[in-house]
Amino acid sequence: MLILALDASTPVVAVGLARADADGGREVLAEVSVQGSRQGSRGASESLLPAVHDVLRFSGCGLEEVERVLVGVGPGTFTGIRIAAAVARGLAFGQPGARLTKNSTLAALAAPALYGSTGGFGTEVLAVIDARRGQVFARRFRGPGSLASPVGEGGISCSVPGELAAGGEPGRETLVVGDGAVRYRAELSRLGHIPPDASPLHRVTATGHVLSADLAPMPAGKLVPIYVREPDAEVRRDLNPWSGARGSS
Amino acid sequence: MRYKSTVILAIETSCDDTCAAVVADSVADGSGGRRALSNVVHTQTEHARYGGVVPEVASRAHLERLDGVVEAALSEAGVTLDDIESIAVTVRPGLIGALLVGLSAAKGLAYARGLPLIPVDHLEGHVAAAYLTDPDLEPPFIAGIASGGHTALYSVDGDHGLHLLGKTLDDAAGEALDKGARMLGLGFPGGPALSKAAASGDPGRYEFPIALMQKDSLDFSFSGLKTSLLYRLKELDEVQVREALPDLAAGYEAAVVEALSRKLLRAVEREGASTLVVAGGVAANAPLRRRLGEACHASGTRLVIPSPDLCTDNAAMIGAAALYTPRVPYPEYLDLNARSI
Repeated sequence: MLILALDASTPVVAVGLARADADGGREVLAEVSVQGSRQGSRGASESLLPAVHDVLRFSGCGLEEVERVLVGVGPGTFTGIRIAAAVARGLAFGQPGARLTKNSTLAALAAPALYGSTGGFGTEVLAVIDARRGQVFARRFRGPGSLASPVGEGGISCSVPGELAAGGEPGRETLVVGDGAVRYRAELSRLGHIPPDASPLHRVTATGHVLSADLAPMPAGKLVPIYVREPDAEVRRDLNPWSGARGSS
Repeated sequence: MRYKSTVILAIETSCDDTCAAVVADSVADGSGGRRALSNVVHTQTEHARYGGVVPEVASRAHLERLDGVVEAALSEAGVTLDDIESIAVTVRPGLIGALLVGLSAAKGLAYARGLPLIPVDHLEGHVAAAYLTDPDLEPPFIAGIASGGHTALYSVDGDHGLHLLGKTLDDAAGEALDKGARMLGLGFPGGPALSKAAASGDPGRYEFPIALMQKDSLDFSFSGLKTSLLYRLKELDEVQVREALPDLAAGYEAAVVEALSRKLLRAVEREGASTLVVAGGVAANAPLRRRLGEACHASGTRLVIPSPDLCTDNAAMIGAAALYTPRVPYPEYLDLNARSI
């Protein structure tokens, strides 16, 4: 089964093409990773589909051979997640043989770290994505067994880095990864080892998605972003003035 | 059903309406020229409790609804994706996050089908609504767009190019009507509510200023009008306002209609045009249609105003504009981006 994986939840746009065997083996055929542009998350609009085109071309495959479009649905930048989700929905709408599936971007971030950490599968990984406004999205994962299984029932947290709780099991080394770990190194190094800034473990990759996703197909309506935060009510009254306020201008 | 000539799937998500339509131009097979085979609009109601459009809420709702709206547009048109020859999508101006949902889905779909993409300007879409209203309409003509977000006046050349002649310097015309309605305690949307209240009123009892009437200007200004209404209201007590409400509404609406009409007619005269197109949500206003109808009849000018459902935001107008917009061949549009202005 051929899998096209997309993620634009962080400033890195990641696209990969992978093959999954019937016995569970997964092999990445091509991956393209684009560091964020000056336009911020809007830049994903310019880099995501060219990257899709490139991974298909590099691996000599056609979109009609793809059976899963795997989307990283965050948490992360709302606009970036939506660009990836909308592109994926458009692709799947146009190629009904390609079924949609989703995965948490935090799980994808943790997956290579669990494989690559010096502690092997025994290590815990705290995946931390910069949520802006001084906050981070975070979730703890643990191996071995099924890779990147989340630890605890609390789900994804959104908090200021200083309030992120230590939750590692005694005796286990926690590896803290992600752009949030890099940005808030000073506040988060109390929670575990943070690799050097340039480490590839801090980047969200398509490979990480391929390693950690369950690939269960779902209808487009289920492919919704993990927003975590409620929308800011920054109202444009001029565009649709439904306000009941009298005498205002 | 198969069409020999152009069949376009159009997507529009620039503000708070999630829209998709199928537009066909079948002049070649003699089956009736430009027309909308479907025109599906889902108006987001989520914004009501905020008192205005919340960009993030609009973007979230577009992503949730777009697939269903596109499916409905195909099914109502009686076509399948196999019949679609190109995908048109609004790329500017509008709320950037909202535009990006429609553009990303359109690019993904066009890429998956190996189809060309047609990037459309929302304002050119409003003008093109007239092509669906009058199948024989061809440029050159003068076009006025008046809506809640835009008020502008264009000369449209023989190649369907738009040349700006004037625009509002402050509020849009629809915004002025909405704000006036709100100040008078009338409902939303303001335009229809104001018209209803004004129906039994005397527009001559209270006169409101018609701004920027200098001879050569084709720009608009509506901010003085709403200030003037505010002062009028301050002079009156609650009982007097209630008694004068129809007259106030009629006078206020007449000032908006007159400001728009004079500039539109001035543009027609100055450019020596024989046709005037008026589009956008405010073009649904009955007194405006009447005033322009009488003036155009007297001067022998052809007047084209789309039906109300083609005046407010919709995707059929985007598909109509796409008939005259260069298509970007597969796969050259993959890095195409949206613009807020």
